[in-house]
Amino acid sequence: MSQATYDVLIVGSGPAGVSAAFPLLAAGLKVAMVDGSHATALPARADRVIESFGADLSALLPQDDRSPKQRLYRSRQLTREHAERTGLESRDFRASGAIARGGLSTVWGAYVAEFDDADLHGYPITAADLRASYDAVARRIGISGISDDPLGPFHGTTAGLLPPPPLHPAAAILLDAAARATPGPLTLGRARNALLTVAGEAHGGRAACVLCKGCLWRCAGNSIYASVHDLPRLRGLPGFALVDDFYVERIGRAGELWEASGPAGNLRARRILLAAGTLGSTRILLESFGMSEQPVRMLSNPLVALPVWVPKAAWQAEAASGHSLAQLGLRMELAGSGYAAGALYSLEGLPLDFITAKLPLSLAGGSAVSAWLAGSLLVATVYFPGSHSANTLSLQPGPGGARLRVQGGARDDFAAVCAALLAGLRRQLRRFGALPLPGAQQAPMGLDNHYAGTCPMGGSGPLATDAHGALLAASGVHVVDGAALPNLPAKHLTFTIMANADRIARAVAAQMAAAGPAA
Amino acid sequence: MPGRLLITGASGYIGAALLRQARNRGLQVAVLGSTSAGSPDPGVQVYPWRLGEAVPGAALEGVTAMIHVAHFWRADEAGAGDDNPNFTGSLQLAQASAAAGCPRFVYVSSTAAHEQALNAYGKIKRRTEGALLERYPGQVLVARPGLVYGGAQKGIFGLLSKLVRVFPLLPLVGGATLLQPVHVDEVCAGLLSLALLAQPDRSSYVLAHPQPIAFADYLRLLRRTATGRKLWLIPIPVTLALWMCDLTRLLPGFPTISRERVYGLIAARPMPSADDLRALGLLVSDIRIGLLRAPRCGRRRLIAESRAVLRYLCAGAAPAVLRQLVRAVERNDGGEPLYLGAMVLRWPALLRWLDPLPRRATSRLVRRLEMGLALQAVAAPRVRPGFAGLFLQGVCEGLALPSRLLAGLLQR
Repeated sequence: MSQATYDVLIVGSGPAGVSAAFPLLAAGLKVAMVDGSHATALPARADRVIESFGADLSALLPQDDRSPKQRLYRSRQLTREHAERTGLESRDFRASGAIARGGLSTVWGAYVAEFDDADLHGYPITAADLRASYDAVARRIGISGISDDPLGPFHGTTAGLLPPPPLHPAAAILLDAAARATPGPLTLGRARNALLTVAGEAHGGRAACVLCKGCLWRCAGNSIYASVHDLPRLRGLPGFALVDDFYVERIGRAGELWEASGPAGNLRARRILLAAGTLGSTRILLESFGMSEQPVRMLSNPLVALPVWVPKAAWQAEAASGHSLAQLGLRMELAGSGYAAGALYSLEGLPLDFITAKLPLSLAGGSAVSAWLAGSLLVATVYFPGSHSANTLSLQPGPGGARLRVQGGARDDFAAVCAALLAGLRRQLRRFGALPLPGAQQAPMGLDNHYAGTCPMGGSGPLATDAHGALLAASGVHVVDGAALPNLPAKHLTFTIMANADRIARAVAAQMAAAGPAA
Repeated sequence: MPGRLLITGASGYIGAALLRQARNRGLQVAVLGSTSAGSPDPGVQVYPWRLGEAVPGAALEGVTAMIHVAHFWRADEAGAGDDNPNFTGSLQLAQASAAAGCPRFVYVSSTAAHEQALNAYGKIKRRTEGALLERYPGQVLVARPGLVYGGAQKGIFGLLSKLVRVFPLLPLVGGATLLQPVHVDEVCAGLLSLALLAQPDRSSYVLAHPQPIAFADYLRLLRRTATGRKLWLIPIPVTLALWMCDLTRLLPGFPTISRERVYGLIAARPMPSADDLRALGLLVSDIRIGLLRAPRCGRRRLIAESRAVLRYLCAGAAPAVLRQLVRAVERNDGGEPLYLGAMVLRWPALLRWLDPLPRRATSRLVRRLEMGLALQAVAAPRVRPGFAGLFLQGVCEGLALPSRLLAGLLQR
């Protein structure tokens, strides 16, 4: 494998990597995708206890501040290898990355929203530049939701939405009340998720959601999109090669070509597309350009969670079927300017211990109360714009190799902004007939996994990139994942990362076609 | 200790407990050889090595104390000659450690190491002790643990525990032999003290209870604490015992008992230890108390308590969930019972009065409860109470509140 040559080398098999691969292959280029790990065959139907806590039950020990999904043994395994490999060191931050196949998308929340022109403030591109890419990605992954509700324009104008899954009763009551109330700073609407409700040709054998409530563990029919579902399809396309267990340590020039090297050897290509996730791609660049101890700004979306009780749904027992993706989307105007965005989740299929343990009751009393509330309780998660974060990422030299260090931080006024938002949100929810419960909490920085902005497009700094994600310091290397986003609105970012990767890949394909075949 | 501690034999009975204790104390530890199977501790560097092999140079870098626990049992069958790797290997190790400038070498010997020892084990330990102290005075300290019990079911303790648990009736040799028991955790505490001791006033330390116990009584006690039942012993002549040892080799599935053990047993004699223990400031508990710390003995208790926890949380304890909770506690949370009172075991609903407010994860009770809760949340179906049930819960919560607040203040 050592001296094979490709047109384009994509580092990472996550959402950004696969999104970039499709247009390149469509243009007839020879593409290699390297994956730091390999496909692991999971038992067809593992015990939920084992999936949640591991065969050794080690994940059963109490852990604070983690969402039900992040508590899962599977999620922890996913991020552990990355942390060990990169010597990841988080300070005032909970960083998690993945080397595993499919990256973090195997545990993502599947929420989908487009960035509009206001969101793209500070970007060298406009929403129109992303339009075709949003549509292409949407067709491929399958998005369910509706466009003619108050949040329709906020979520974007993607065509071909699949019908949304049935709404949870408590969410339906809340949405109904919001629709009848006079408009205010809080807007609610149906959530938009990368969830197949109708399976089609374009979706590569994934099945439609059967509302089995098993989302947390593993989607039975792969109805929730994850980039691993695209790999079989990519492998069927001519010119594509997937290289397993190829962990890229650094990249460098090799004459006319670029070379990625790691413990498994090296690979050469005319261009390199970095899609290893913000932490991964930035680490490769810092290491390749010898930038030890040089902190780079990294954005993240600070996050708060708030339990909300809908009394009108209190007589509801839990439904027998459902899903645990977002039920509703929300947009809340921030005092001053900008907005916070998030989603409301029902407790369908979720273990309730994370709620029970937070109640001031005894665990027996808490279990009874949370079981009673389960049908009428929603949990809101609200993200703040990335401008409220003040994190840095740096490479620290050490005896056992360089360590990747994340230093978390927030803007000085963030505590006040956060308190104001929570107060406003509570007021608005009460206006809609819902009762916000005590126990709202700000998640530790970094728990959102929305990392971005280390290699900003059209930005400045040592790792700045141009409008096509190409490093200003080294032509031929493009950053196509979250690292390239220069600003982070409060909206969920994955869909935009995918569309941006698609857009950059189209541009790269065009540039390479113009330059002619390799010498 | 600023430098790091290097341990050999960390996969064995004493070594594994030593490694765990050293890690729990926050010491920087490296292992020469291997650690026991299971999840590797990322904080422990392991250098592959076996007794008799050259020591990897990197292993000794920055080491301020070395504790040599490893013993290659199989080699003793060939006798206590000069070529026994337990002898040559230990000398080689001490030499490498001295050459690397490591100021302390703790050699783990045994109370079996005395001049009249009959078995190769005792003889080789005695010879090694002598040679080490002669060649590296000041650097080497010798520890002589007595009859080690407790902790994991490994070593001779594991073998005897298994035997007495299964058989109500056992042939006995050397029943009147006096042995000095010591809990494995106490041995480890002693070894760590020796590794860190600034100014030792002697070169060897006996780590054993000053008051010996007869071998027959020891066996009876083991069975009593493990099963709550009586053990019947039939004294047999030594020759017959030796012959039976040979027989165990032929029985498939039965643990092999070496002749060495019999020789070791009949030649054992108590050694004065009170002064050594005082010099180390080490307390060795009475075996009747120490045995209660062995997780196996506490297992019945642990099961009963786990059942009570699950019943408290949700009125039921499915066998599979109960098994998983017990396993999780044993593997990941020390495995020790909480020693809840008999009333609580009988009426688990009383746990509500002990459920501390606020709950802190440092409390073992809280950890146990939260583990049960997390497990039940995934494994058991949710039961939605009716209005009456909810009202009753509210009343109980109110009644339990003062007691819960008190429990919150008292929790450690």
